[in-house]
Amino acid sequence: MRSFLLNLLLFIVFVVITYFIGILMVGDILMRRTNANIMYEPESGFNAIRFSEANEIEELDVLFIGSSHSYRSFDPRILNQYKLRTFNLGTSSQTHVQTNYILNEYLNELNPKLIVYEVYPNTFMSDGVESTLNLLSSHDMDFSLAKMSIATGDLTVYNSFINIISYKITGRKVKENYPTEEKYINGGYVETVGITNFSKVKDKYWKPRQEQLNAFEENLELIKARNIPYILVEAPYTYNYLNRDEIDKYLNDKGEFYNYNKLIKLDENIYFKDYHHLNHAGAAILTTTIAPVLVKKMTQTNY
Amino acid sequence: MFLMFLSLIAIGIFLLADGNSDSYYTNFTSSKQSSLILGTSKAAQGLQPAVINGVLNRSDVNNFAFTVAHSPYGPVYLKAIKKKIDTNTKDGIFIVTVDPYSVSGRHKDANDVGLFRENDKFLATVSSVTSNPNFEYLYQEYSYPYIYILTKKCDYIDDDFLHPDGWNEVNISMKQKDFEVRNKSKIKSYKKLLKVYKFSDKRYEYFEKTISFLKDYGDVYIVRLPVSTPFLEMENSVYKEFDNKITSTSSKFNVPYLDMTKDDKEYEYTDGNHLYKTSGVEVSTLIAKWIFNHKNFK
Amino acid sequence: MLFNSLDFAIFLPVVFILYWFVFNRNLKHQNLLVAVSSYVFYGWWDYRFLSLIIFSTILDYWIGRGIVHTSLPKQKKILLWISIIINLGFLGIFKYYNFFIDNFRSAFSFLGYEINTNSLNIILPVGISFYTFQTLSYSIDVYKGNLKPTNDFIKFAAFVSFFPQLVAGPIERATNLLPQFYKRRRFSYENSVNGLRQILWGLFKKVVIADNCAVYANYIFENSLELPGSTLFIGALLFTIQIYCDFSGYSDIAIGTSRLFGFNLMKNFAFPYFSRDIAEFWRRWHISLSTWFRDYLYIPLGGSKGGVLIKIRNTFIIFIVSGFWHGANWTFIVWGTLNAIYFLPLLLSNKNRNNLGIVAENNNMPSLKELFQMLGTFLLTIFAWIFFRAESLNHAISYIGEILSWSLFNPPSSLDVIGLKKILIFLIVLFFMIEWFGRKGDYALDNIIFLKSKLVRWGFYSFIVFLIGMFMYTEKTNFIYFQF
Repeated sequence: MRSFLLNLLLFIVFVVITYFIGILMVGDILMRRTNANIMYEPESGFNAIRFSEANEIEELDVLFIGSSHSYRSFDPRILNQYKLRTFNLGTSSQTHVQTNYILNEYLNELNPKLIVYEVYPNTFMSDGVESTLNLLSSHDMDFSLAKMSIATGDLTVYNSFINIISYKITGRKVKENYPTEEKYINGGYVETVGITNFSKVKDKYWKPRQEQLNAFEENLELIKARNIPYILVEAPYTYNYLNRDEIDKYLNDKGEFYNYNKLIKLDENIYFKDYHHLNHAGAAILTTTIAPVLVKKMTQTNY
Repeated sequence: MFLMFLSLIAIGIFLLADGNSDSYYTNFTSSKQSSLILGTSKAAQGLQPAVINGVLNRSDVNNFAFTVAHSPYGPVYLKAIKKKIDTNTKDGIFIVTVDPYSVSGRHKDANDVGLFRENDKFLATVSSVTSNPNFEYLYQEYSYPYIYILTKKCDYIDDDFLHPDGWNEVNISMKQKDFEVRNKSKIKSYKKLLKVYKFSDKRYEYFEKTISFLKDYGDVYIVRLPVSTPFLEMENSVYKEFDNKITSTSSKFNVPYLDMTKDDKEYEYTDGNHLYKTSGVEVSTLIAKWIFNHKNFK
Repeated sequence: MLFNSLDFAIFLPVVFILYWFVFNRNLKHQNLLVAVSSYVFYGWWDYRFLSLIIFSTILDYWIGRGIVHTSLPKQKKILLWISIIINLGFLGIFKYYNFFIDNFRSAFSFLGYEINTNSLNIILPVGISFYTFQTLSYSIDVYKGNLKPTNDFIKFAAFVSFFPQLVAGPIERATNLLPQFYKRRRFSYENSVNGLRQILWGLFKKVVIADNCAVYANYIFENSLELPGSTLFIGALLFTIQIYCDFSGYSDIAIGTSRLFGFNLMKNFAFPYFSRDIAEFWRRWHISLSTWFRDYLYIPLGGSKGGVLIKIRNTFIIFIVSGFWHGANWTFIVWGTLNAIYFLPLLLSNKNRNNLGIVAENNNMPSLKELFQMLGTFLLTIFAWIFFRAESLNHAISYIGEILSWSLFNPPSSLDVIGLKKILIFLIVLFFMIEWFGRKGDYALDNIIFLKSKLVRWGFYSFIVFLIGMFMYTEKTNFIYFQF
C-alpha cells in the first residue's frame, strides 16, 4: 500500500509537471486551431485597452460597471456634451462576482461621484466562467484574480490560467485581434457600426444563482460604504423574461432602477447589433435618454 | 460694492445655466453647426438628433428649431441660421420641417415683414447664437426668475430638458386623462388661431431662401411632421394648396420632400400636435432612414 | 453522483482511505462502509429513490431466506414469482407504464373506442434496470440451487448497491459478486494500478470521445430534416462511436474502481467494433446483459436446442426483450428486431460461432477479408443504431431514407456552426488505434505494461490526461446508459 501511495503521489507530480509543459508547448496552438478547453485571447471588449486607460484617469464623474451591455450602450462622447466625465468598466459577460473584483480594484482609485450599475438579468444566472476568462485575458494577474479563477471550478479557466502563467514566464504578448466592425472609444465605450442580421431568441425565465445575488448585494454594500450614489440600469434587448415582475421587484428593492426596455422602444431591425446588444445608433439614443438622469443625480449629489 | 457683489452672484448663477434652465438657452450656447434640424416646436420636441446621428453614423446633426412664435420662416430665422452655420461645411444635412403655420402670419397683412411677430423675440434681439455662456440671452430673454436656474436643477427632467444636441425633451404625464385635458385645450387655442392665421407669400419666399442658402453647405430635406387628425384638418384649412406648393418647391430646388402626415401609423402626441418622445424616436428613425436611402441611392 | 464530476473525485479517495485504512481490519465494517457509501453515491441524485433499492434489497434477502427455509417446491416457486413480479413490477411502473398506457389508448382509439387514461409524470429512477436485474439474478440462482442464500444482510445490501456498478452495470451475477463480500480483500498493487489505468481509459472514452461525438451527433439527429444523406451518415457514425465510448467508458470506470477496492467485476465490452459478424458483436457488446438474458431467458425458453421455429422464436424474443429493456419506445423494439434479423441467418446456418477468437490475434493488422468483415459488421451496427438514437420510428425512417437517397453523395454540410474541428477526427483515429493495439487485453490499456520503461508508460498516461484536460467536453453530460 505504501508503495502504491508513494507511486501515486509521484505520478500525480509527474502528470502536473507534464501538463504544465504540455500547455507551455502547445497551449497556444491548441487554443487557436482547435476547440480545446483553453482560451487566452481578448475576443471582444477591448479590456486590455480599457484597463490601461482606467489607470490613467484622474477625475471622474460617472463610473459604469456591468457586462458588455454597459460598454456597448453608453457613449462617453455624448455624455461629455452634458459635461459629464464618464468611464466604462464593463467587461464581457461581467457577472457580479467579477464586478466585485473590479470594484475592489478600481473604486478607490477612480473615486467616481456616481455609479451606473448595469444589471442585465442574465448575469445573475451565469456561472461567471466566460467573464473570468475575459478578465484573465486582459488584466494583470494578481492574487484576487487567481483566487476568483480557482473558485470557478472550471477546467477551461484552469487551463487558461496555466497558459497565462506561461505567457508571463516567457514574456510573450497576447495577440490582439479585434473585430473590424468594432472600435474602442476613449472612456471605455465600444462602438459597433452597422446592423447585424440576427435570429430572435425565445423569452427566458429568470432564475438567479444564489452566489450571484450574494455578490450583487455585496457590491451594493461596497458602494454604499463609500457613500457613492448609484443607479441600477437595464439596457434594452430584444426578448423578455417570463417572470419580469420578479426581476423588477428585486431590483427596485435594491436601488433606483431604470429599465430601458420599458422606458424606450427601439426598433430591433435598426438599433441592435445582435439580439441583446445595442449598436452605435441604439447606444446614441440610450445615452441621450440617460444623460439627463445622470446630470440630475450628479446635481443632487453636489447639493 | 453691493452692486458688484450682486453682479458676481448673477454671473455665478448665469454660469450654472444649462439645458434645464429653459427650453432654448443651450441652443444659444452651442457652437457653430454643420447639420441642422429647422422648424418650430413640433421639430424641436419631435426630432431627436441622437437618433438621426445614430442611423446615419454621424455626430453633427443639431436641432435648431424653436417655436412657431420664434422660428417661423422669415428674415429673423434665416439670419439666426446664417449665424449658427459653420461656413466651412460641405456635406451637411439640413432637415427643414415645414407646416402651414411656419409659412403663415397672423396679421392682416401677412406679408408685411415689419409686422412679423418674431421681430422682437430672442432670435432677433440676441446677437449671438454661439456664445457660451450667453449672458446676452440670459440678461435680455430669460423669462423666468433667475433663481429658477438653480431650483430647476433639482427637478431636472421632471418637465422638459433641452439636450446639448438641441432636442427639447418633454416629460409629461401621458395618462389618457391628462392627455385629453391638454388635447382639448390645445384644440381650443388653435381654433382661435385659425381665425387669424393666413398663408404668407413673404414667409414662403424666406422658406425658399433658407433652402437655397443651406444647399451651399450640403443636402436639404424637406419634411412635414405628422400630427393627429384634428390638428391635420386645422393645418390644412390654413392653406389648402400647401402640399402642392411644397411639392413644387421640392422640384424647383431638387430637394426631397417627405410628407409624414400621410403615414398610416398612429403616433403618440403630448397634446395632439407635438410628438411624444417615444414616437419621436420612431419618426426620427424614419426620417434618418429616408435620408440614408436618398444619400446612398440618389 | 457522476463518475466525471468533482463530487466523485472527492468521494472516491475518501472512501478508498476509509476502506483501506480505517475499516480494513474488520470485514463486516468494510462491507458496511461499501453499503453506506453506495447509498450516499446513489442518494446524491435523489435520496427518495433510495427507498426503492432498500425495499428490493429487503425483499430479495427475505425471499432468498424463504426459499432455503421451505422444502415445498410450490412455495419456493411462489416466493420466486413474488420476487420477479415485484421487481419487474417496479420496473414496469417506473419505466413502461406510460408506454403501455399510451399504446393501449392509441390501439383503442384506432378501433373507435376512446378510453380515459392519464399518462403519469414519472421520473425514471437512475439505474433501476441494472440493480433490478442484479437482485433478480440472486433470487433465480437461489431458487435454482446455484447459490446458497446469504444470511448476512449487510453483505447482501452491499452486493445489491455496490456503487461502482450500481447505476449502469456491469450487471453482476450474485454467483460472482456476492461471494467476494465474504472474502477478506487484500490490497494488490498491480490490481490497483490496473484499476486506475482502466479508470483513466474509461474517462478518456467518456469525456473526450463520447461527449465530443455527442455534440455533433445530437446536432445532426436534431436537424436531420435539413441535412443531406452524407451528413446524416456521419451523424450515425458519430453516434455509433459515442454510444460505445459512453457505455464502455462507464464500464471501464466501474470495473477499475472496483479493482481499487479489491473486487473483480465481469467484463462488459470486448472491443465489439472489431467483430467480424453480428454474432461475435453480441458476444462482445454489453456482455453482462446479453449473458443475463441468455442464462435467465433464452436457455429457459429452450435456447437453440429446439427446431428451426423454436430457434427463430427464441432469437426474436431475446433480442426484442433486450431492445425493450433499453427503453419504452418502439425504436428500441425495432432496434432489437433488426439485430435478431441480422443474427438469425448466422444461427440457422450454424455460423454463429465462427469467430470466437480475437481478430488477427497473431498479427498487427487484419487481413483484407477480416477488414471487410469488420467493416460490414460495423456498417450493420451503424444502421441499427439509427433506430436506437432516433426520437421515433418516423424519425428513424426519414433519417435512413435520406441516407439511402442520392444526397448521400453530396458533400457533407459544414458543421462549423457547432465548431467542428479536425481535432475530433484525430482523437477518434487515435482512440481506434489504441483500442486496436490493445484488443488482446481486458481493455485497451490492459497490456500497456509491454512498455518496459516506467517513464514511457507514465509519459503515455500523462498524454491521455493532457488530452482529457484539453478536450474533455466541459458542459457536463450524463452517461447514456443511466436512462436504461
